[in-house]
Amino acid sequence: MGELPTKRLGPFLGGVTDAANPLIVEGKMSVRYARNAQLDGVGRLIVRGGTQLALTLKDDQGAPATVTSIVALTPFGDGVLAVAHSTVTSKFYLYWLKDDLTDWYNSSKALQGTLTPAPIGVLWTGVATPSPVLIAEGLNVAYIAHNSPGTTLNTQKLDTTVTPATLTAFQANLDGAGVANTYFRGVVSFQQHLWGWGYGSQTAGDNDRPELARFSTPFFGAMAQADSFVVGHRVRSIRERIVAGVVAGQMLYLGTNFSIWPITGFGRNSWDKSRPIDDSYGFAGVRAACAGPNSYLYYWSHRGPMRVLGYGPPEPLWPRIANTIAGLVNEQNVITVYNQNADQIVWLYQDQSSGRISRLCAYDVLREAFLGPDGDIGLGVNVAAFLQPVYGVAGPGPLGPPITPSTDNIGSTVALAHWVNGDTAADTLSQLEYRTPQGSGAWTVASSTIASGVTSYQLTGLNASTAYEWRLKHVRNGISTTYLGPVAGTQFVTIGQLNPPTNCVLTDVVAYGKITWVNSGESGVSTQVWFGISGQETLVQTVDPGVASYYANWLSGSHLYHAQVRHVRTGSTPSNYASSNSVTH
Amino acid sequence: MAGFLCVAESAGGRIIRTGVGFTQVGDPYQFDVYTQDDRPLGDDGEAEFRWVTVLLKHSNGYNVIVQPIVDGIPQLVGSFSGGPPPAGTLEEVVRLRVWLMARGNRIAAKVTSVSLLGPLELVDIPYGYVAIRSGL
Repeated sequence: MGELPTKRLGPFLGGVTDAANPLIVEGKMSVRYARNAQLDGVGRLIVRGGTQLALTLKDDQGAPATVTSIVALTPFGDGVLAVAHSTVTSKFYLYWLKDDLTDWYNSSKALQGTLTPAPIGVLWTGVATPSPVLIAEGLNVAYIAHNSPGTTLNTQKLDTTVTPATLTAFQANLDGAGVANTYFRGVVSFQQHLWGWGYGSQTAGDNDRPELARFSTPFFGAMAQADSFVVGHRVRSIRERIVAGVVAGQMLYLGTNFSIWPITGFGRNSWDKSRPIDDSYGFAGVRAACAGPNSYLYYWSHRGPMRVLGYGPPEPLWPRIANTIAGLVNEQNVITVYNQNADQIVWLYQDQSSGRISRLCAYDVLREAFLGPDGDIGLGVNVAAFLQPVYGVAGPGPLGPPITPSTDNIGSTVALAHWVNGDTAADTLSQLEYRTPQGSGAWTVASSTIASGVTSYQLTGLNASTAYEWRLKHVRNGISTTYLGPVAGTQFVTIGQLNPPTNCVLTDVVAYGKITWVNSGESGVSTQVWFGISGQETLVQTVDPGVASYYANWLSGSHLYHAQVRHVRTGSTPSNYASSNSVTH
Repeated sequence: MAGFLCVAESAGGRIIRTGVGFTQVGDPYQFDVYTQDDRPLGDDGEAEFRWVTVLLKHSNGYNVIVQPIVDGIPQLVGSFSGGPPPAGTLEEVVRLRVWLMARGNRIAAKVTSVSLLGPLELVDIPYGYVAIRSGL
């Protein structure tokens, strides 16, 4: 056998793609497609990681939480800001989250200790449907713009330099008519100034013009000058408008719906002096572009993924992209994010019919390899963000949830839960909860500190003849797995009392009275032996589980003897007695 | 790992971490890799493909299906599963061999997980064959 030839189908160097839309990366063709797999930093083809719930935003109405969509998520200072919308209340809410998403702040920046953040403010009301929201960060000040045309939803300013933080309308004098509310479709922080586009003062007739305004807003406190002005106003077509502005390196790239303009200065004619570096394909959506490493701008145009450095020209990353893929996305559903862990620019795409999100493609910035579609994340997504804790490193979560549940040693007040650990790391703890009645009771935490490696836990303090269920999860570095249970193996009914032994017989074997019985068969039950003159029996011994006989001493003199036995076990009501025959000795 | 990529739900209020563990909020997912074809005897050659062996590295058990594909035709699959590596070892590379004994010009293989028990790495897929004739 050793002399017969062999060859290899690996190793898997690159070019991960999709069967339906083949992509060829020259010289890297080992894989036809790979779904839910990724090439890591050293070229290994590995299964991708899973997903896990971090926080669930709730609205200002209390339970039940009616947040129906999250429309912004961005780092802010040493925390994170999120904006969510509720179709129930028709409001947009602003949230202030801890940077590792394990907690949240109130408006005074006090951690609240739960995983269900409440809003610190209401941004806009009376809006039935969500649309993207963009946030620009200053020094402890955030500006929040609603990406829809019109003068209904004004740009907001969150000021955290005061305690509690204040949320107010962002105002400026843009038309010489005095200070008034502003209505931008997007904002970005660039060169220590706030930039806004889709500008409209309340008196402006056209609120969707490709107009750019720069503000010397107090990003840096008293250093700022109050010289807010329009930087430029370019109109090539009435159909052209700014879609998004992204800072990459020293450039602010303004993407319209069919061109991209690099901005380097911050004077009054900065945009007027600019020339488009791509006058055919602009940004395909408000979240279609992001900054990559080394000052590159990565974006999804109407012709697929591209990148540009400095003044260009843009470089198509997927030259032979099928029209079916290029045309998949529209302005609503492509999300671009740089995943620093994998050194990949990732484009996420939300299927409009299924509502699911898929990785449309990714670009490995280290190996300059293009990675094709690779799977469905399993839910619809509006925004993505790479969050980097400032003051601490987010440790890894548990590898997987516990599995294989079972329950035994069920008594009247106790039960023993068993499972197999899904993660055996030394710092992985388990949390076990139980409830009654099954399916509707409130969960009680039995223990949240079950040590790593432990695979059973005794529930105590239960009520007899009652149906219970338990569930268990692993917790590591503040990250929880999904729960194991409630399923059949975690449901049980406590017993009323133990079953009694049977066939209790007292026999005269001259020197002793021999008492025999048949055990009930329940696990772990001991047997109390009561013996003595009939009517005056006393407990003479408690014998170990499994033992079914006992030799008792006669008393002096002649008496009528009687014996009785019953089963006992810690946490269970003793059984009834089983009585023997009477013997005269 | 200095940070993490997270996504926020469009039809609810959940913020989701990615790259954590091997379960998924929502539907589960599976590892699924399909290699390119290989022609050991050239474009027109013919061989008797004897076996395909998947070298799979794992650290917490595996449950996968291996399916050789000859001339584009899927062959019988082999199902393989195993528990964590032996005590004292953090990971192991298992050899999952499928005997196919199929005649053809080109061969590929598909490796799909049935359930994800932990990290998996597809290390390599060697195969063995007997030459029938070389390509012209």
